[in-house]
Amino acid sequence: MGACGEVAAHGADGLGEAPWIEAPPRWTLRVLDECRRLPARLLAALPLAARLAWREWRLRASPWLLCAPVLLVFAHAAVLALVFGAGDLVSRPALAAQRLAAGALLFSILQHGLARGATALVDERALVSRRAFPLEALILRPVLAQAASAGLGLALLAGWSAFDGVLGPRALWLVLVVAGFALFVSALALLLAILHARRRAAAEALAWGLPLATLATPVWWDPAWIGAGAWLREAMAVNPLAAYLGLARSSLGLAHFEAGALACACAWTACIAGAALLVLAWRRPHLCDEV
Amino acid sequence: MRHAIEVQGLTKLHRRADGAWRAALSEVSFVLPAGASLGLCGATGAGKSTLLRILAGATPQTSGRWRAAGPLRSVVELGAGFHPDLSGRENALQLAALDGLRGRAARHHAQGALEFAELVESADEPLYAWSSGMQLRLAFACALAHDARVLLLDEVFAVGDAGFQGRCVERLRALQKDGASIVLCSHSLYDLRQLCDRGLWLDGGRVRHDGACAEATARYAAETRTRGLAPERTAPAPEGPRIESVELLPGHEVASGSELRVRIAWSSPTTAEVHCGVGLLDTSMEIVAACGTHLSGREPERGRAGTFELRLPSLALLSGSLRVAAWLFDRHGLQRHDETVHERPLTVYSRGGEVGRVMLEHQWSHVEPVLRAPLPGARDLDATHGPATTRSALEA
Repeated sequence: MGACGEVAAHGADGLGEAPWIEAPPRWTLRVLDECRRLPARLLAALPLAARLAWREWRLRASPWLLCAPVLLVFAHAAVLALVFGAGDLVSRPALAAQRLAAGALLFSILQHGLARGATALVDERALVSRRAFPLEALILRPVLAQAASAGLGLALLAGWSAFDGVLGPRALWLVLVVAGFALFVSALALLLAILHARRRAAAEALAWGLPLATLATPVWWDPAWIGAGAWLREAMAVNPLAAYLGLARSSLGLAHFEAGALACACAWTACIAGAALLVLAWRRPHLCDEV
Repeated sequence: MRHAIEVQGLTKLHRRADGAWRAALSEVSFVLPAGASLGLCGATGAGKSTLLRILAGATPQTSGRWRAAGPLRSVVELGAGFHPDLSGRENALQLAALDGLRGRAARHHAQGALEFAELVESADEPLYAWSSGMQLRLAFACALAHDARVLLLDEVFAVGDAGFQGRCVERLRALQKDGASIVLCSHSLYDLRQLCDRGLWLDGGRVRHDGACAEATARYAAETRTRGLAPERTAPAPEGPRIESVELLPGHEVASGSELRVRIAWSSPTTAEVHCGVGLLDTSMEIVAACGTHLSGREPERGRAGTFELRLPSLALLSGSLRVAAWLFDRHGLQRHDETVHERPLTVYSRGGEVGRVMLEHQWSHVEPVLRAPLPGARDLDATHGPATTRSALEA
């Protein structure tokens, strides 16, 4: 059995066939080794994460799980319409509510997945420091559990859109959008989890960062509402969260599809995932001791 | 010879808060033969848990290498991975998933653990409704439910009530009989001596002794006493068989070589199976000699009360003052229900001039060198003066 979640092969007959478990090499060699082992690690981590996420989802599953976001959407819609007099919310309330719901549901994956995934290693330190298993599963668990909840809500929204006659073949892309966003959030959570294990800083960072991200992302507001400053619209174009929200809304027929959003989402996901892989390769041997 | 574990030059360094490096393990090497059991002993911070964590794969070593034959299961922290809101069965399934089991194998494993821990009736209740003892029993049962070839146990042996501990010992001994190897870390040297045949004494991250468990623990115990550290701590079971009285016959003063009887009366609120042990301790509370019914191959006594009698037909101790200790063990001779040291010392006096602690049964003999045959014509002086003068007569 290897270190920090690595499963080594064992010889069937005595030590003659059992491989030696060597000390980890220098981090430059570890990066290459991590890339080589990544498919095997994911094959080991994903099923375990799915089983853990399923168990957690069943634990949390309740009528409140669906009612809460719906009530939240209605509350925000009421405030925006009655207090701020937001255009679409007043003139086309159903469409606006669906857009709000799509944004809120997808964004909930980021909120809950990051908040719990970033501290997962430290919260389960007794497990991480004394047992060998795929550590990534602990970080993937909350992301997958919330993705399942959000996916259920988005499926209901898709039904609503179909009832309104705005749903098209592009609705199938919703699965890819949710999967891609879950991958993006998982990579981000992994980076934060490694940071939190070393510096115990993720909780504070998220306490400030998530509200800022919520304001900076068109979850509750429409980019068309941006008045002065064209630079702000251009900034939205490189915001990966805005890109994913746009893709989800366009899949549901609630917005126009923008190729730029797809490129932005893919580029950011690839960069964050690559960075997470490199940092994990560098810090994996130390995680068990730092938590 | 096939080995279960082979370790070569393991070193583990930790960086402290001040930036300095501390060696938790330093060049540790040992080999555990297949089917053997290894006891780890050492003071707190010696590196025992670090070694087990490395072997469990939870943390990598800084240098060195190791390998193990067969599936390796570790029990290094009970309750790790439990979720209080999940039921006992769900938690057992979760632990099985962490061990790589899935589907029917995981369900079979979880059911086996619940049955072993006798918690089937509470299996579907959330864990927060369980007592801490029940949770620990489930955790231990989940670890023992595996058919492991190598089992690592770290200070987790004193779990649950005496009945559950007895079943754990039976399970461990069954695993040993099947050829599994056990690495046990415990501060109880008695447990190590009873369960392990090999011992590894770690001191400051280094191997001080690697050999027979009895010798390794004895050396560690001697070093502990030399340093003035706390002696081996024993804790009698809170509610169980108890020693009622200890009586010495003929009294508290006996002569060397005479008969000594020690009677130990015991009682138990419930029917119990017990073994008894008696030890003679010197003034520094070190055991000079000890006997036990389990060590003599006797079956445990079953009941709710009784009196053990130890008969020493010829006390082989010399002059001195000793304390008499009595212990009451479970039916495996492992778990101590109760222990007591008689308040009055036993005084032994010897009639002869021997010195020391122990009178050794012995015989003296003397052999003279072989003499040459008498010269022709020499008178046979033995006939007139006796053999004692043979030599002197010849010289004359």
